[in-house]
Amino acid sequence: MTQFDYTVHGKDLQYVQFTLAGGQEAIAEQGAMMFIDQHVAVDAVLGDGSDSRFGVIGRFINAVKRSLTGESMFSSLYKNSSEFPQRIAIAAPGPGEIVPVNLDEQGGSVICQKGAYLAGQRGQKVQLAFQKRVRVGLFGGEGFIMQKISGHGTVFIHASGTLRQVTLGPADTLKIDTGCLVGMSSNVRYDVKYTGKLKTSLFGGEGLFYATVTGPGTVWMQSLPINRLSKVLMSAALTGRGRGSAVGKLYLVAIVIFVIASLFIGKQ
Amino acid sequence: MSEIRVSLFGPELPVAGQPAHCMVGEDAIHIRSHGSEILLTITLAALRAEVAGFDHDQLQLTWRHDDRAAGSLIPSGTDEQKKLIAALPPNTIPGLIQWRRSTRSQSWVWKGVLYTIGFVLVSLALLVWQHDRVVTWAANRVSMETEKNIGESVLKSLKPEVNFLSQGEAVKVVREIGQQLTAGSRYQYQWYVSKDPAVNAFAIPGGIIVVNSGLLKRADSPNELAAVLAHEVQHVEQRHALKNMMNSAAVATAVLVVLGDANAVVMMLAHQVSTQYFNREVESDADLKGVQLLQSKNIDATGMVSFFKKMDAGIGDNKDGAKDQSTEKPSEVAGWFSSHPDTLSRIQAIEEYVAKHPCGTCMTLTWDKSALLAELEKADGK
Repeated sequence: MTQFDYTVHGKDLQYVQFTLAGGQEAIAEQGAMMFIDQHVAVDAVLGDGSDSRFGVIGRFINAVKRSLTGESMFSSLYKNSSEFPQRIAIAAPGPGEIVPVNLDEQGGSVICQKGAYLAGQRGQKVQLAFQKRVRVGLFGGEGFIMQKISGHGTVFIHASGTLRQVTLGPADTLKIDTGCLVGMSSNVRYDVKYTGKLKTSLFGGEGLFYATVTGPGTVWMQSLPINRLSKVLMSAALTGRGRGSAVGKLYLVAIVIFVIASLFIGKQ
Repeated sequence: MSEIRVSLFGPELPVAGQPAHCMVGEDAIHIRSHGSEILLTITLAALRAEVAGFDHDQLQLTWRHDDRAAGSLIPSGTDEQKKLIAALPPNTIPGLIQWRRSTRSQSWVWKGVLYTIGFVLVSLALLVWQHDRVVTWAANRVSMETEKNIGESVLKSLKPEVNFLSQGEAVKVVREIGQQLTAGSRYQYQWYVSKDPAVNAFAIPGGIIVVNSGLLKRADSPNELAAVLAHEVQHVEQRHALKNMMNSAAVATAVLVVLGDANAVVMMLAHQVSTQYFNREVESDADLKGVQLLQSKNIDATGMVSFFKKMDAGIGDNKDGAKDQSTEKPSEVAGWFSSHPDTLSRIQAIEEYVAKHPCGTCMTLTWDKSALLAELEKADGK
């Protein structure tokens, strides 16, 4: 399978543009397309477009399981129907970075947070990875359901904030704030650790637990989890309404008084 | 000595690991790559077992040289991992026993969770299926004293609204028939006649039974009155009011559990539907048990059928209302029935029961209806 020729454009609101050789196919999240060249055919496929041993029912079940990982039931298949290279551009759904991950370098599969998958080559699978550790599922910040992306070639994942890739050697451990973990290669051990100090956990603002990742392998982290961002935006949206100047309010009061007064004036 | 396929990790090696083969010797493991030469030999004492992988089910053997992380190996696949564990002496490698314990406890946790969920589901299903028995069992746990207190407080709250006759012919008739029915009961019954033209009678938990004067006027024979009383007595004996309360509480709990939150409208709807359903069961129960009670006291039970039929007809012929004063308003006749739904099927059920269980020794009762009516007229006139 030939690799994509890709470029990531933009800084905070990114899109990835890649070139499909003649006959080459790519899969992307629904609704993520920005533009495509003339000879690229778009098709909706169930799930990740891969076949199942159990036929249509198996494909449907796979698609349902895939939809539990924060993706849609259907995805878009882009096929270059011409002989010439054609461009397609896939945009990120929110502020953040698009990171290309070469699955061959990561041992064939990576495990990512819900909804991290953006686009990839045809044949890559997005499956449900269930967190079997109750403690990690409850306190790890990623929930019980993550997505396992496996296959060959490059896959594009997206998360909000700035993404950072760290390679861990054997038994190297990194403490991460829960929620900042985006993905990891399949050998990495993901666990939670109690912060150890009641004072820190109550007043430190970091929560009761850290997520810990232990090598060997690669982990990806995000600087701004989407729920942290939405919290900031939400509080700003709520307080922003009341931030009009006092003069502005008086102006409204003056209009109301004027309207009421005009009623009485009209009567006389 | 078998070879085990592993992935080798280390500072100069690829991130996803390098495929290699591992052999476990007497006091060391030997690792070689695809070529035949031995790459590494590490003594068992230098090894340490650790948990690896997203599912925490992989075994990782790490070793250190000069206090810095030097490398590790992970068996490729579960079969290879089993081979490696079987080959390693468990007591010499630190962490291996803990590794086994933690992977095993992992499966215990999920078994526990699954079994708990299963248990809760099965017991819920049982609860719904054996709903009647559960409610009966729970109602029987309530002490007589509590029931009596509930009844007293209900009566107290009714007294300002309802005009009770305390003595006289009407109360005497009701009490006589009632006492005949309830001889030997664990409840101490109190009998009341209220000055209300509506054809109705009701039971309050703890053994308080109230008969409206309208019903007395409408009853053609004391057997009909006895039938109504037997029905109400069975409401008390079977603790229907308590069961109804518990039923409502259970439905409210179920609604809250399912919806998480419920507003007043939803609660009222749920309550209505559940009591409607419950009432139907309770009424037919009281009918049949009432007939049994009548027959056990040697009272002819056909009065119940005839009274029910009269009531059913009374709903229909409102136009003939002038014939009888108590049917002037349709709502007055319909009173007893509005709380007693599905009349025809009930009449049928009673008729069937009476036909199947004929009572040769049963007698008809007698009363002085004219004295009773005179007394009621006098009370109305006041």
